[in-house]
Amino acid sequence: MSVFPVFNRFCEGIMVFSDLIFLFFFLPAVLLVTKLSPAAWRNTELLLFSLLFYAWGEPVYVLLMLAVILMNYLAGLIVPRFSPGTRGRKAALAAAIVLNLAVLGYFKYTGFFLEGLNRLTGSRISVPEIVLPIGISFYIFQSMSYVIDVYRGQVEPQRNPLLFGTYVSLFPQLIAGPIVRYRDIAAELLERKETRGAFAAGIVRFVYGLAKKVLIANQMGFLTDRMLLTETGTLSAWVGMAAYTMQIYFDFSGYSDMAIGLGRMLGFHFRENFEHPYVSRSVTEFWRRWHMSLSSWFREYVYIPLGGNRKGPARQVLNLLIVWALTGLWHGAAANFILWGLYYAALLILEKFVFGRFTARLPGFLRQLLTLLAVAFGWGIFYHTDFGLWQSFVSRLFSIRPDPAKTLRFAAAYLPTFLIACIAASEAPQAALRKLRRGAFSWVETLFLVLLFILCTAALVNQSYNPFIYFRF
Amino acid sequence: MKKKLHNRIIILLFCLAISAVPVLFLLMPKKDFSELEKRYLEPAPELTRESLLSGTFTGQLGRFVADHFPGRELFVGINAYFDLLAGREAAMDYFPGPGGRLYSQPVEVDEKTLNANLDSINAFARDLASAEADIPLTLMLVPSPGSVLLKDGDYPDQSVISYAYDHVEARHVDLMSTFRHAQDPELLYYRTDHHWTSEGAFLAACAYRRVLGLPVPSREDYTLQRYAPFYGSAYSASGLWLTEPDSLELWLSGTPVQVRNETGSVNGSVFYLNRLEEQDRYTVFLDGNHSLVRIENLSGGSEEGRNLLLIRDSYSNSLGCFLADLYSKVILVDLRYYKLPLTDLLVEEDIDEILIEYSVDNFLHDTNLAFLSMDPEPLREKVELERRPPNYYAQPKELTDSFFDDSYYLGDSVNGILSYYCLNNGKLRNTTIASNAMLSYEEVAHQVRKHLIYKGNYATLPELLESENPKKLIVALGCNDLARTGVAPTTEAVVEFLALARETRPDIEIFIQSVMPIRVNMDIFNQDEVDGLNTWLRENAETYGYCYIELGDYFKDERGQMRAEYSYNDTHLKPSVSKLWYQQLLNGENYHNFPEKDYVEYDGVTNLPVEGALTLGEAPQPEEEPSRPVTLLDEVYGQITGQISCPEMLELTGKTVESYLGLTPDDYLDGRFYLCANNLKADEIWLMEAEDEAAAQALLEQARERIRVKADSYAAYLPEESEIARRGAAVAKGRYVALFLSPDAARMQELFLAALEE
Repeated sequence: MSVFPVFNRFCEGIMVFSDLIFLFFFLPAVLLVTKLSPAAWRNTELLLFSLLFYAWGEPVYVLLMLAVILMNYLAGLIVPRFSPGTRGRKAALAAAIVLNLAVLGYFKYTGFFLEGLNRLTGSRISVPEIVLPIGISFYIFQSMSYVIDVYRGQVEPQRNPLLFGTYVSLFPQLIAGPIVRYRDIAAELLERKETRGAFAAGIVRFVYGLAKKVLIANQMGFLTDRMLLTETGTLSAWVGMAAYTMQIYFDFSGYSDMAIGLGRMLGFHFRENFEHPYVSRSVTEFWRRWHMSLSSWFREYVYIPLGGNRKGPARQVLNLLIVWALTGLWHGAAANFILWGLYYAALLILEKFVFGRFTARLPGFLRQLLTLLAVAFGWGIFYHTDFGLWQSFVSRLFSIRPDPAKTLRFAAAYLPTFLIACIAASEAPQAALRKLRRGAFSWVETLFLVLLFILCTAALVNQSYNPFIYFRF
Repeated sequence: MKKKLHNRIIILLFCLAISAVPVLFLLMPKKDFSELEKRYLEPAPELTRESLLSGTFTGQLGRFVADHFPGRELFVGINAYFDLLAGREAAMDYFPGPGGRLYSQPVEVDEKTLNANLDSINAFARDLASAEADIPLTLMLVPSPGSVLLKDGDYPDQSVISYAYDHVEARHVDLMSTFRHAQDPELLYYRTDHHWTSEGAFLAACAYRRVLGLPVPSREDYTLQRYAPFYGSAYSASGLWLTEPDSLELWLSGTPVQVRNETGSVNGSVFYLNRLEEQDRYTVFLDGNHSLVRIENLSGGSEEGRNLLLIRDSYSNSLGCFLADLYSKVILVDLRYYKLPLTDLLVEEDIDEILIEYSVDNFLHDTNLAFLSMDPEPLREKVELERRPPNYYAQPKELTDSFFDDSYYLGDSVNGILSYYCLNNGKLRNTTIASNAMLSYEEVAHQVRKHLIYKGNYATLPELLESENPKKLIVALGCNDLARTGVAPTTEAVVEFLALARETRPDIEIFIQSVMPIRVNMDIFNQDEVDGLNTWLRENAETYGYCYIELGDYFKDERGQMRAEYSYNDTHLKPSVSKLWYQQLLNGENYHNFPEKDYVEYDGVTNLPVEGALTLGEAPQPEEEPSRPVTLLDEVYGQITGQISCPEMLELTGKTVESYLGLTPDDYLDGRFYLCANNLKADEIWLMEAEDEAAAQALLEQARERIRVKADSYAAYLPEESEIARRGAAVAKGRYVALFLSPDAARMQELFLAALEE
C-alpha cells in the first residue's frame, strides 16, 4: 500500500510547501517580515515562523519538538563539561542518544514493535494508537548529529538556545529534510549574506522544485495508484512500478529543491540532497546520489563508528547489513521497509564482492538500465506495506496477465508526462541550462518559470490539498 | 548589469505573485455557493480552542483559502487545458471530442449492481403479474452519447443494454438503434451536458409508444422555443471553459397541464421558466430532481385516457414533458428519494402502464432500484373490485345500534335484563325496549289488554304500532305461551300475532328472537318445548316472512340447557349475561332470513361494506349528555336514598320515560324517575315538579294509575312485589308530586314532605 493514502488521514491541515496557504500567505509573510526587519531579529523571527509552520495542523506536538530542542541544547552544553575521552563525556553522549532514540522509538516504532511481539510470541498486548508527529525522524536525527559533533569536538556548542532552536526547527528543512548538519550552517546562523543574487537563485530553485512536485510527481502519483491499486494485469504492474519510481523521485527531490531554494532565499546554503540518482550505473553509485543527507548521516554516525570497512570483509558485510536495516527502518515502521533496506544491503554487498567487476565491463546504458531495474524493483518493495499485496504485485510482474484496453489507454495518457519526467531526471536539462543561461535565453527561462508557477498554482487550486510522501519520516 | 536587472525582475515577479493573491483574497467578496460546482463553498472557519488544538481549524482554513482563491475558475480552466495539452485526455472525466462536444469516459461495468437491479425489476414484474392487473411494464435504457456518436472508444453500452434486455422480464425499448439511425444523431445529446436534448427525448417517447403499439406524437404538434446559452453539467465538471455552449429547446404543445411535486408546489406547465436563470438550466424541465411528480393532463390526453407511472432518473425530466401530452396522468418517481413501495400509487392513481427509464451509467451504479417494490394484494383487490358486477349486496355480518333505530323491541320478563343493560350503557338509544312481564304471543294476538303496557296504559298491538310507528318490530316472547300451553298452540299464536301486526303495518319488518334456554326443566315447560318452538320458528321464517334470530347456543351448556352460572332461578337470567345477549344481537350471523331491504353494499372481495353504507365495528360512542343542573328533586332523592336502603335503582331518562311510563316532557317541569335495576322488585320512585297545581293533580292521577298497573302486572308473577306496589304511596304537595313503590313507601313519603317544608 502506498504511503500516500496512509498519510492523507493524518495530514489534514498541516502545511507543506506545495500548498496554497504556504505559497500565498505564509511565505510572503516570512519574506516580508524577515527582509524588512533588522538583521539581529531575523533568527528569532525565523524561529517563531518555523514554530508556527510546524504547529500548523499539529499544535500539540510543537511542545514535543521544543522539549527535544531543549534536551539536545542542554546535552550540547553538558557534554563539553567533561574532558574528551572520559567516561563522563561518553555517558553524557550516551544519555542524549538514548533519550533521542527513545522519543523517536516511542512515537514511531511502538506499534510496530508491539505488533511484531504479539505475532512472534502470541502475546495479546494491546497496541496503543500513537500519532506520529511530523518530521520527527528529521529533527531527531539533526539534533543527534549536533550532539555527536559536539562530543567529537567538531563543533562549538551553541550557547544561545534561540539560535539552536532556529537550527533544529528551521522550516525549510523541518518536515522533509534534507538532514542538515549543524556544522554546515553554524556560521550562517550567526551571519549570512542575503544578496539579491542569492534570493533570485533561491526563487528559481524553489519554482523548479514546486514544478517537479506538482506537475510531475502528483501526476505520476495518479498513474501509480491506478496501476498498482486497482488493476490486475502484467503491463499495468510494470507501468505502475515505473510510475512510482518517477513519483517518489520527483516528490522527494522536488521537496528538497524547494527546501534548498527557500534556504537560499533566507541566506542559508544547504547541501544538495539528490544528484540525478537515476543516471547511476551501479547501486553503489545510486546511493551516493540519492537522499545524500541521509546516507551520509548513516555513514558518518553509524557505519564508520561500527568500523566501516576497516575491520575486514566479514565485519564490513555485517556493518552494511546493520546500517541498511536501520536505513530501511528509518523510512517507516513496517517490515517491508526493513526488507527494502536489506535488499539494498544485499545488492551493495553483492555488487562490491561478487559481480561488480563483471558489470563494470558492460556498456554504460546497459548498466544504467540494470541499475534502474534494481532500483525500481526496490521501490516496489517500498510501496507495498502489506506483504500479501506485494506478493500479488510480484506475481503480476512475472506472469502474463492481460489488461483491459481502457487501462492501457489510461496509462498511455501519461506517457508524455513520463517522457518529460525521464528527461527531467537526466542530467541533460541542467547541462543545457548551464550553457544557455547567458544572454537572452535567461529571459526565456524566466518566462518559462512564470509559466511553471502559473501551472502549479492552477494544479493546486484544482485539488484542494496535496500531501506528499516523505514528511512522515 | 544584465544579471542584476534579471535578478531584480525575478524577485519582483515572484514577490508580486505571492503577495497579490493574499491581498486579492482579503479584498474580494466571498460567495457562499458555487453555481459551477453545485456545492457550498467552505465558509470562514471559527477559531475556537478545540479546533485550534485538534488541528481542524487549520484544515478548514486551508479549504477556505482554496475554495475562495482569487481567479479560481481561471486556474481550474488553465489546469484543464494543460491536462489536454499534456495528452492526458484518457485520464480526464470529460474530454473534448469531435464537434466540440464533451464526452465522458466509457462507463465502468459493475456487474454486481447490474444484476441486482435486474433482479429488483424482475421481482417487481412478477408481483405486478400476480396482481393480474394487465399493466404492461417496459424498461428503457438510454445509451451514453459516446456510445452512440463515437465509432471507436470502447463504450460497453450496447453489450450492457443487450444483456439487460435479455435478462429482464419486461418489454424494452431499443434506443441504441433508434438513435444511431436518426437523421442527425448529433442533435440528440447536448454538447456540454450529460443529458439528451429535447429532440432525443422526443424520439425516445415515440420509440416507447411504438413498443406498446400506441399512436406516436408528431413534430408538427410542437412549437420550439430556444434558450441560449446553455452550459451544462459536463461543462462545469470539465473545466474546459472555451467549449461552445448549447441551446436549450422547449417544445411547446399548448396542452393544459397541472404539475405537482412532493413539495406541494403546483405549476401550470411542465416547464419551470424561473429555473432558466440558474447555471444548470436543465432544471427547467419539471423543476429538476424530485421524488414524486404528478402531471395531470387537463385535456385528458390522447383518446385512450391512460395513466403512466414513470420510474426514472433525471433523463425523464425532459421525457416526462412529452409523455404528459399523451397520457391523462403521468406520475414520475425517483427512487433515489422515493423509498416507499409503489402499491399505493398503483392503486390510487389507476395506473395503466409502467415505464422504467434509466441511463446506462445510472443503471450500472445506482443501487436505489432495490426500493422498487410493490404489494400485489391491494392491486389485485382493486382489479377484482373493478371487475365485479355493480351493486353487490348481501346480509351484513355485523350490525350496529343504528340498525335498531326507530324500532320496537317487545319482550317478556326474561327480556328485562337486556333493557336495563342498554339503558345503563347507552346502547340501542334510539330503540324502544319494552319488557312486559307475563306477556305472551297469545295475549297479544288476541288483543287482550292485560300485560301489554304501553305508555302507562294497557294497549293492543295495533294501537302500539300505530302510535309508535316503528320501522322494525323485534319480538322476544314465548316463555309464557309455553308455560301455559305447549309448542303447537304457541306456533298458532305466533302466526296470528304476525297477521295482526301486518294488518296495521303491512310493511313492517318483523324479527323473532329464539326463546332462551332454561336451566332446569319444570312441570310447566321444559327444554324440549323450548327447542321445539325454536325449531318451528326457524323453519317457518321464510313462509311467514319474518327474520329469526337464534341466540340460544351461546347460553347453553353440555346438557343443552341454560348454564347454571347465567341464571338466577330457572328461567330468568342474571344481568351479567346481558352483555353477551347484546353482543349476539348485533351478530349478523345469528339472523336467518334477513330482510333483503336491509342488505348492504359490499366491495365483493373482502366482504367489507363500501363507505357510505352501513359501517361495521363498534357501536358509535354515546354522545355526551349535557350536564344537568342539580335541582331540589335531586336533593330530595339524595336524602331519601341516604336514609332508606333501596335496591339498586336505575334512572330513566329521555325517551324511555315517555315510552315506559307514559309521561311526556310537557307534563312536568322537572322530573326524576327511578326503578329497580332488575325485574324482580317492584321498587319505583318518581319525583316531579309540575307547572302549577292543576298539572300536579294530573301527575298525581298518573302516579296512582301506575300503582294499579304495576301491582297488576306483578300479581301473577311475583305476588309479594305486587302487594308492595299496591301499598305504594302517591302524594302531591303544591306543585310537587311523588310516587313511592317500596316496602318503605310510607317513610319515603314522610321524608319527601319534610324536604318540601324547607
